[in-house]
Amino acid sequence: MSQTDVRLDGSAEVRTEREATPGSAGHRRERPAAPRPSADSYYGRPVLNEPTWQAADIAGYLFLGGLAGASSTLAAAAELTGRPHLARVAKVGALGALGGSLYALIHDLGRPDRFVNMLRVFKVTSPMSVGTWILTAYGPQAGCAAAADVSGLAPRLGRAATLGAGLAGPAVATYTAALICDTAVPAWHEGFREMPFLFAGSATAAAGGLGMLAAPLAEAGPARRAALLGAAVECVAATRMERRLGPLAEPLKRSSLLRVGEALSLLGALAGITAGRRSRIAAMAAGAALLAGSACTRFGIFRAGMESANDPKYTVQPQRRRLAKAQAEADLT
Amino acid sequence: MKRQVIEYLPFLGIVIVIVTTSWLAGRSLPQVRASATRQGRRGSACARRGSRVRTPRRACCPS
Repeated sequence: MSQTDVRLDGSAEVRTEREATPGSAGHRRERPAAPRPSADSYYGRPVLNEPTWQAADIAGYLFLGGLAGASSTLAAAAELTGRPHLARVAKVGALGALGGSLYALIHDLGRPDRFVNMLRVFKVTSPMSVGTWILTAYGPQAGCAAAADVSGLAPRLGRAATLGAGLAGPAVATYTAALICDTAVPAWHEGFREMPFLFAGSATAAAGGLGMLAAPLAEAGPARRAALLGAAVECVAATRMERRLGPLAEPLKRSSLLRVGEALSLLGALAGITAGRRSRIAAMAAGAALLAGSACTRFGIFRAGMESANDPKYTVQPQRRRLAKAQAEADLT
Repeated sequence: MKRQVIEYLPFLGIVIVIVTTSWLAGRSLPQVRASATRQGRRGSACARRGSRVRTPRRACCPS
């Protein structure tokens, strides 16, 4: 007797498979379930390709661009209020920072031609295109302002260039925030509301720090106040961003560079406004702390963004929350 | 680790150059005193006091 002839109902006739009684072969054993892959991504692999940007190039570019723009605005303010030392320090600092940021940008692009090629189009919806044109408009003015001040030639042209660079400075300091928020990197993309304020505050603190470090005490008052304002804006914007982003802010909260940056900025600003008013050494130390704090903030933002791009949960979970929210709203209507 | 440090050296070098040139640029103008600068922005101190002997502004406010 073959095994298929055994029936629970006792009948011996052969039945086709189609007529077989379900369960007649006895209870099946429960098979162990295969481990399900994580629902966040394909077997835990990142959803996004990590940007190929190097920290020293792009984070350095963010820092130096912010320093240049805010220094130009500080220089214009110093020029208008009759502080020639502070104006010269800020103008020369802005020109140096602009050169450094262009070096970092072109080093990241690989060839200078690529920067020139970006000037072939102007696209309002592209932060990269708009930023390229902002840099192109700002650079000659910053260079002319510094050259006229140092050489003493063409003072009227130098003054006009100083004011023009001062007006373009805020755009130079903050367009980089729009640039990185326009990427798919989750921690940057979702932080688009606060990121420009964070960058503006960080740039202002750095420019104030440079002014405190290099200008005489008698003229460094605006630099001290700018540093205090910038450090406060930077810390408030960072705190608000971390609260609003919720779980997505984990890479930002874990970043020791961001914590060090905020601490250095606050300490430098407070030391500058207190001891830095009387002591040259204290002013220089406070200025150095502000510069280091701003650099740490930019590198911290950069690294946190890279970490969020490498972990698929930071890509998938916000999308699911948005889908669930849209579904809930659709159900209500 | 050593390679990471080397990657950041150009950035550090740029920042040091910026700070040094700014500091030198700030030193290239004649030095000012705190009180002199404040007086210079607010006008001649002796003129505000109504002094009969009018000190020249440049002598009163060397900045």
